[in-house]
Amino acid sequence: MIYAENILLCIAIPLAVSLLFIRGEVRRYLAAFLLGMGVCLISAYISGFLNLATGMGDNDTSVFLSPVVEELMKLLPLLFFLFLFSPKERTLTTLAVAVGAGFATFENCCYILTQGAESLPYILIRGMAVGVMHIVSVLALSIWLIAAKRLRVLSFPAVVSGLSLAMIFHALYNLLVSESGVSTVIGYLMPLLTALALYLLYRRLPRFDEA
Amino acid sequence: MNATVSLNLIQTGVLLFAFIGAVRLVGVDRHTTRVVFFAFAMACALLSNLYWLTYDILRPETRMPFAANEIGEWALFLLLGASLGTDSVPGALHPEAVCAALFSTASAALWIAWSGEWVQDILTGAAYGYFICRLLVRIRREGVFSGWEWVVLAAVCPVLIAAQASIFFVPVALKRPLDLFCYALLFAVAVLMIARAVPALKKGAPAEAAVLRTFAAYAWALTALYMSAGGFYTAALMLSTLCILLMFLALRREAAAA
Repeated sequence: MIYAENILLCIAIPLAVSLLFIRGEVRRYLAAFLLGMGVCLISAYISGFLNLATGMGDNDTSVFLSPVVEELMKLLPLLFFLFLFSPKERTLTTLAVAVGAGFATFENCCYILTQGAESLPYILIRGMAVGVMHIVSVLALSIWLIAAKRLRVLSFPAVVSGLSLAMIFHALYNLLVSESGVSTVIGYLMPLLTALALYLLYRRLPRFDEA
Repeated sequence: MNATVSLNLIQTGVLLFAFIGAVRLVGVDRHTTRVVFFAFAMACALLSNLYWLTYDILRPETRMPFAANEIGEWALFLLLGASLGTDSVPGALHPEAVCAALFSTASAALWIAWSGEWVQDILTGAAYGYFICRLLVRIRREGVFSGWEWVVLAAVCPVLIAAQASIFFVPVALKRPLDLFCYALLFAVAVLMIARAVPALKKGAPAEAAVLRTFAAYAWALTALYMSAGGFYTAALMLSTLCILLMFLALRREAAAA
């Protein structure tokens, strides 16, 4: 057992203090990064509760239920920013990346503390697969919301559809890596390939923003 | 590879085709909103299908502990419903909307009785109800269905629900005939809907009517899919795949006519 709240405090306090001395885009990024770490902790609480309430077991909960909870929780700050502050498209994607990175960082910290960090290859796979997956899913969601806004269809069904894509992508990753063999390799490659595709799309966003 | 997996693969291909086709249609005049919603819906259905397919291949013959892809189906229904609502619908309460709500509620009750998944089936029922409510209101408003078609729907829906529900209570000897009777009803109406939708896609026929007829055929094919098992499930999957293609063709015709 680890004390996740204590770990969060330990990592978050220096970052929170540094917020006082930085400005602009970097400050927004760091604030959203901290938010992502908090979202990770709350998601773990909710998944833990659902595990006990449904009696699904640790493995099934992490494969099937966690993607739903985690993606929903990551969506909430994005929606908050989008509807309350109407940020620029570039700002929204930056916030999304920061929330995803904060989430992945804190999850990896907790994972390393419970499982150990002896195996460098596994740690690298963990960083490049799960770590990237959290960023990719929330970034894709933010791009989806931007597209919906630009096409003037930003509504409840459009938000639910974006959320569903993020959830299913995450659940698909979990499902693939939960089985041994070729599926695991495909699962580990999936976030990296999606990240590459999104990067190519992301490079087009400045023009998208100015339009 | 079993028939369901093969058919799911084909459906995934059709969904990919419809999604790419719809994305290419985006930007065509006043029907853009509808096409955008349709493209979004196809994306959700595509990923949901892919998840289902992966599960079927990795863990065959096992029941999914929790269907994480089901939200994709809710999104599909919401988006298809929203795509029908680009023009305002006057009036608050329509008889056909009430009937659609009753049918979707009864269907959801049956799904719960079959699967025992309360939360997921209630949410699926709500999204499905939203879609068929909007669809029927729109069909009525545009005068797409003829009088006898409304009569057939009004007769079949309650009979189907009553027959499905009675399977739980009748003696064992009667279960199979009653089950076959339900399948006969489901597939007869599905074939009828598709048979009426195909001619609507021909040149000269109103584009809006073609869209609504193909959407109605898809809604019924999904109803059949959700109420079927075994070989009948495979047949319903085939019909729903065909309907996806028909919906796309109808939207493409509508966009071209705009």
